[in-house]
Parts: sequence; C-alpha cells; structure tokens
Amino acid sequence: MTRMGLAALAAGMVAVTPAFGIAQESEAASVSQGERVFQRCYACHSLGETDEGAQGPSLKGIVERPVAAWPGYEYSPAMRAFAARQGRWTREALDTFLADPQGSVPDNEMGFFGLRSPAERAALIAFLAEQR
Amino acid sequence: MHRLLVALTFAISSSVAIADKAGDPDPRYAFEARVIQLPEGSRPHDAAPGRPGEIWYTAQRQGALGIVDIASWTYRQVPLGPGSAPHGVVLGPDGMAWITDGGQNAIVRYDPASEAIDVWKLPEETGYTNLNTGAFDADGVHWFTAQNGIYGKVDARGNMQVFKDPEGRGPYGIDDTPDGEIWYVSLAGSHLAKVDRKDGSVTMIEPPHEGAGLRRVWADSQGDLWISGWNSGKLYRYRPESSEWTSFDLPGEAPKAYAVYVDERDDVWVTDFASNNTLVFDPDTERWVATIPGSGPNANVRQILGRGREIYLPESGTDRLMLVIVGE
Repeated sequence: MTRMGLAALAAGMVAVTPAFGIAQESEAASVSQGERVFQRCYACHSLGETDEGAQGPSLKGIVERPVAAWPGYEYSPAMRAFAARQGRWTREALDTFLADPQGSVPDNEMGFFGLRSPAERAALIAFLAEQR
Repeated sequence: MHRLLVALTFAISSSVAIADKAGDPDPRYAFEARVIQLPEGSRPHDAAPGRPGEIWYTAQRQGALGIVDIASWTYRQVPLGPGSAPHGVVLGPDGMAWITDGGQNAIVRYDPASEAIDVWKLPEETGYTNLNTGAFDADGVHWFTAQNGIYGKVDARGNMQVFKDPEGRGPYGIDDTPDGEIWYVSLAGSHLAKVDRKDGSVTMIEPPHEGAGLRRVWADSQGDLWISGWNSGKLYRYRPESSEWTSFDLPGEAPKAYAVYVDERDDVWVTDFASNNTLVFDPDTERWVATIPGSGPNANVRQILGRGREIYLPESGTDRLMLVIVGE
C-alpha cells in the first residue's frame, strides 16, 4: 500500500470512527425510545419468562423467534396459520404486523390496532431485539 | 365528515328464546336489530348514549368520536386530535362526551353543542398509561382506568389525580353503582376494586376463581355488580351488601366473556368472543334467555351500553355498530 493509500485509509478511519460512534448513539437512542413505546404493549405483554395475568405471550426474544411459539400460550387459529406461512418474527414481519395487526393477520385476537409511526415501530423493534 | 351509510335492518329471533307455558317465545326477547356500516378501519371500540336520538362511539383506529343519528341512520366522525386513539366514551352529567383517549394519553371532553374539545393530558410522570374506560360518581367526578396500572379522576375543570393500582397492570372496566360509588376490575390482576372517593385508595376483592381475568363490570338497579371473566369464561355476580360471589357458566366450550352490561330491566348482556355471540341472562331465572349473533365473523363486541329499550353493540371486528331494540 502506498503512503497515499495509508493516508487515505487513516483519513477514512478518522472519518469512520465518529460515524460509528454516532450510529451507536443513534441505536441507543432508538432503544431508549423503544422502551417508552413498549409501554403501549405493557398492559398485555411482559418481557420475562413468566407473568401471570398478562393476556398476551411474553415478548422476551421475540425478534427472530418462531411465530406463535411461546411455550404454554394458546394462540388464536389466525396466528397459528400465520406462523405456518411466516416462520419467524423477522424485523420486517414485525414492522408490518405492528403497523396494522388486524390487516396483516386478520382475526388475530390482539386488542391493539397498530402503531402508525414508522419511527416508533423501528424503535420498538430495536428495543425488543435487546430483550433476550 | 358525513357519509351515507349502508343501512341494514332486520329482525333477530333470539336463538335461545325462552318460552312461556304455552311454548310461545317470550315477547321480551323478540329483538329488532339494525346494523350500520361505519368507516372501514374505524375499529369502533366502545359506544354510549349521546344526545337524545344519538349514539356515540369511539373510532379507535381513526382517532375520532363517531356520532350516529338514529332517525336518519347516518353517522359522522369528529377528529379528537393528533395521535388520538380513543378507547371508551361515556355521557357526562354535563351532556358532553367524556373519552378515555389512549393515543393522546388524555381524558378528552367533547361538547356536542359548541363542538369544543378539551384535552386533559395525564401527568407527564405517569408515562403512557393505556387509558381504558370511565364512569361518573355521585358528585359528577369522572373516574377512569388505565391498563398500565393506573386509575384516576378528573373533574369538570380538568383537575386530575392519578393513583397506582396495588397490583400493577390490569385496570380495565369501571362503573358507578346507583348510590354513586365507583368500582373497577383488573384484567391482569384479576381483582375487583372499590374506590374510596375521598382519598382515592382502593379495597381489593378477589373473585372465587384464581386468574379469572375480570374484564368489565356493571351495576344493576340494586347495586349488585355483574362482572365478565375473560379467562374463566364465567359471568360473576358480586353482592357488596353480603360480600357474596355467585358465578354462572357461559354456554358452549371455552367461552371468553368480554363485555358486560345490565339493561334497564336488569337483564344482563354479555359478549362471548369464542361463539361470536351476545348473550342475555335473566337473573330471576338464572338462565341464558337469548343469543344475538354478530353481524359477521369475529364481530368482537368489546363493550355494551344502552338507553331505555336501546342496546348498542359496537363491532370492532366488522367496523359496524348494531342497535338492538328490546321488546316491551
């Protein structure tokens, strides 16, 4: 590698490092915002292994988890059929579902009609991805 | 927004109509029903009597209060503000609509005369509370529940106080008794709570079945409380005078009791999500006396209210509202 090349690489590193830092801060901010958005889920969903009384399944590890697979939870026929089609809760699948739960999985039993804000959905998914 | 509706009027013969001694259907349970198609995606959650001749409903997914004119069988929707997602609505003693608006995390009041809207946000420190349902006490104070573990009160000047449910998440249905006291139930906490209106504290009362999932509560003319058990599939009656619980099984396999309402004849109306029916229970005979099917699959009637012979069944799953007229 030439001296110019090394210089360019060094400059690139200088340029890249702050950007990476900003990305980390942005991700942290998104997770923090997502924790606040999660308050909309909190009435029915926990993040733990067990939570008696919560009406929905735990969301612990939901990102990339198989759909309709929380042990012991009785899923609706609609959600079970969706699981057969979808497989896992990818980030994209979660985003689509959260935007319009009834529209994306008709007749599911979740009594929540969706998050309209793409930024809120992204933040929530970022937060949920941390819950492992 | 005014829209002409697709009106559908039909008579419902109750499928479990009780028969008199001659074997004829009881005319009290020969209902007439009308169905109005509301905007697609409105997801009507709760309904209430509005001004005379009107039914109010919350269009939860469209952030609006809906107003149905019964005579013309038309509706319009009033936007409630940015981010609105209204859950409950009740008619206040001031003639206004008092709305528990989860999206705005606020109690919203709509004046039908001036069309003015008051938005009373919950205190910042409560965070998002998932506001649920409201009721008025003997002094005209509006009490409300919020599923994230909050209940509270707000008066006609917007003065608000919030309290934490002792068991956290779950406060759901709420109602006032004929003597103006306030009771609510917790779905996740599975308890009944009586509110001390002076200091805001609650006395918690456990139902006879653990994890019953008490969803909604309604008082009859004698002050007895009727409660739906979402998890247990039972209808409960609690007598405050004697602290006595009685439970009644809903018909069918694995019923899911959601809404409960006591009409002016003291008949008890319950919705069952499993069978997609609204059921009518006669407390005198302790029998289920009528069944009213949803107007379509998974109608998902989450709340019932009425006035006189009118019973309102908002169908969140079909974007329709059914008006049932009960017999004389």
